[in-house]
Amino acid sequence: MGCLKLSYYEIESCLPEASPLRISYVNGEVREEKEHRFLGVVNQQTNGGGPTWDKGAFVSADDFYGFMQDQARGNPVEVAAFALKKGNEEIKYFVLPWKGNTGKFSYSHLNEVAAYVPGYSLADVISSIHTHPFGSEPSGGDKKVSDAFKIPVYTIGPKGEDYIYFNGITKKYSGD
Amino acid sequence: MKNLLLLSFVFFISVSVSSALNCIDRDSVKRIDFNEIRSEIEWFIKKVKPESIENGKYNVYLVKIYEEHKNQYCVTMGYIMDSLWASEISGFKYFTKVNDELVLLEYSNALRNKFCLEDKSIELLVDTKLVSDKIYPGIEFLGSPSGYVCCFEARNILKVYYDDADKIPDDKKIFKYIPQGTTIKMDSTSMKQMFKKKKKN
Repeated sequence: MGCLKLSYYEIESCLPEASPLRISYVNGEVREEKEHRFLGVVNQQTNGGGPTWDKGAFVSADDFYGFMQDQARGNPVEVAAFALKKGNEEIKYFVLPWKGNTGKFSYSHLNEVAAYVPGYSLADVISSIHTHPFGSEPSGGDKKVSDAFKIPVYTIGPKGEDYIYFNGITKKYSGD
Repeated sequence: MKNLLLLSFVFFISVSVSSALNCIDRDSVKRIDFNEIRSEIEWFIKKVKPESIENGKYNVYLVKIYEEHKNQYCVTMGYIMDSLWASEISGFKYFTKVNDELVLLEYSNALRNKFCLEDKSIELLVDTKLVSDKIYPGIEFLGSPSGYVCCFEARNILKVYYDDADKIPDDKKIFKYIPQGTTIKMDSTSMKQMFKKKKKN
């Protein structure tokens, strides 16, 4: 079968296939086995007390960016978090469990905030933050979520490709 | 009156036969073989399931078929997993099942007539509950689906897989409205500084 070639297309055969790790990582049992193996490393970095793949946790404002960037660098699946502010409290960062997330999608859990952070609700979420292991800018879907919930969506990439989208404007930040 | 009825009947028969002949006589170049499209849909589903939440548990696949230019038609494929894009799938009036996966189809009557697009497996989407029962309820997922564009001309197919469906050319995109906005490069502030700064505020 022949192939038409148009200059503005990327031809499929020229695109690299996703790595075997990424494919097998999200397939049923294999996924869980590899997540556990990976989490061993993450838990070492957080002294075992930080967020885990099946249970989220608060991370201090000082450690939050570093934690998320480590995840963007080392975790092949997206990791999402809430920035929460209730009344006069300082802003708190809650990293959500990344169970079920993939390299391209994460659960936002914006509809069930209290289930993950007791005592807080969607009204207390001032922004949604998630990693982009492939370093891309906020996707059309991320922007639509931001528009729907009227909160900024932050994305953190592995090499300092950080972005905020809110209200039609994307800001690109310069990493560390 | 009798003559009028007879005339109407003859007219109806001639129109029907003419339509049928149009499809039968149609040059094979102009005919859409849905089996060809189906095999590309199968490939796409297999490709994107691993990147999808729960290995595609919530995926509803979208296939838009449109005329690119004379004698060439294209197919753009994508998928949704929650109700984020639900308001933008009203144009998908048909559905089919491919390996038990729900696939919504969008094409115009003009395209169907011109390319004789027919297949026993294609049904009119009457009950949208089929879709709402499959996708995750509400707006839940952050992320970017992949997309796939195939353009068919005679026996040639140009296949392009997009890791990020946002990168599909505008005239081939499934969704008409994707927020773009303005991008501003922030040279003086890093996000790391910003999180710490927020703590002080």
